[in-house]
Amino acid sequence: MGGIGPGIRRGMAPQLPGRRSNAFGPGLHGFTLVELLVVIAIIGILIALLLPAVQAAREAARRMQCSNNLKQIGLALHNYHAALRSFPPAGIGYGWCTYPEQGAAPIVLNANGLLMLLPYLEQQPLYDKYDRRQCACNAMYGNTGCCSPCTATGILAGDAVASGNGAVVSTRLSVFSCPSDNGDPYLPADSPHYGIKPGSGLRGAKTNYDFSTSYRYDCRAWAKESPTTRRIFGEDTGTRIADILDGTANTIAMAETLYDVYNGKCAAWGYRGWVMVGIDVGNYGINRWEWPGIIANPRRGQLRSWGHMGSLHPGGAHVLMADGSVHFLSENTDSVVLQRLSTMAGGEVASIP
Amino acid sequence: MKMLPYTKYVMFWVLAFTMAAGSGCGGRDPNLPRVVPAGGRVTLAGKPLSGAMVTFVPTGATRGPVAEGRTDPQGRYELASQQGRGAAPGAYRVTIMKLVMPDGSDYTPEAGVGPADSPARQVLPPRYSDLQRTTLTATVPEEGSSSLDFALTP
Repeated sequence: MGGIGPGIRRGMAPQLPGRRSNAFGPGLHGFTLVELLVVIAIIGILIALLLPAVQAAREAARRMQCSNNLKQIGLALHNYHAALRSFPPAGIGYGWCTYPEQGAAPIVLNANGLLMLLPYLEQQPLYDKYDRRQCACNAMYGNTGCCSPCTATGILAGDAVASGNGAVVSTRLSVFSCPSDNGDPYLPADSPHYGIKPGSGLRGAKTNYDFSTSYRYDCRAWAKESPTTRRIFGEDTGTRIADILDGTANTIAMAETLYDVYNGKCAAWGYRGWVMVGIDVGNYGINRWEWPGIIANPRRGQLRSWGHMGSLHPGGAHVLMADGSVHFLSENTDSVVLQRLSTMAGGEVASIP
Repeated sequence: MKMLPYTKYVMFWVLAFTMAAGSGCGGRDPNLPRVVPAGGRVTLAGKPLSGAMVTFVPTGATRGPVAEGRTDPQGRYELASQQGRGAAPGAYRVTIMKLVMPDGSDYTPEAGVGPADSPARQVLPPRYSDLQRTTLTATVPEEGSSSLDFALTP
């Protein structure tokens, strides 16, 4: 093949059949419009294929961080158990349940068990600011769903704001936050049911991870419950690993939940207000959005009720088993399997599906 | 015409991608349990109970999700779950909850306020309304049923 010498000019080269000379020189061939369009279309299709994959990769990274948080909390639970010979309770001295009908503990602390894990989550300085003899929030109001429409009768231990506990429990900690959850991470300031103390302006920080408990809001519900349906955690519990007769690998210790809840509110990591009892994995399933009666318009990302397990990860949510392992449970897991995994001494055969 | 081969080329790929995209997904996940239509009627002391929430929690070997429904003014309900209308065949524990506002009217769920934030009260005894203490059970037959009735006494 001869080079394009200076003597050879456009149009002088011999015309081969099917090969025209053009602006690029004799025998050289440019791109036609259709070829360009095809290339652009192919690039477009490739980008269209790639973009969702990039979004999925980002969600996968968030999910990994989320499961890592749960793993850290699991290690903290075991370190707590090693130091104090039992797991922490889900909460201590609930104020909203101390109605006359329920004959409950008179001293109200409203503390969340996650507070007791702070030293094991490298949050010792924050824990040192917390006064354990005083309440974590001033909530003394429940709903009238179970009891007399009156203020609870317990005695509030101190004051959440004056003791500085309010400032502690309104601190947002990354270990209690799942990066996939885009809801409001703070509770309302002025709610007597869910707030720290109305008028103080302090907003409790929510948690995406909570203890496995029963879906009950009566006082000392754990103590009243049958041993075969008990979960590991409850009000004022101190479960030991030896009590988990179904096996630590087959019993759920904690689960994931969402900030945005239709019925009730997501729990604060620091305190227990009205219906902030923990998560009941066994009864209502995972990622439930609909509520009978307004079933026509469920919203993904808004859990239907308090005490429910859910996440914005596609297809399910994380659980922490009592042995410290973290698993991703499908939202289609059978209800019976979830019930068996939640009880700690039910005597049933069950394992992570 | 010289353009024709390219046009064919483009058409081929457009068609191939459309078919690839359209063929893969769709249909029901075969791993999900089968659900059949299920419903019935709730009466309290012989009268239809309206606005009550009926919850079916699977027990024993039942494979499927929790199913729920709300009764209409005639006391009739139809079960549904996140897997659509109906319930999986099998045995269930049943709770029936009925919330009433302080003025005596039925509690109706709205978009903003859930029952936990409303002043509504539970009017049915724990033997019907409490998940742990309920005495109600039901079995959803293989072919479904619209007569899973409950006659409650106050």
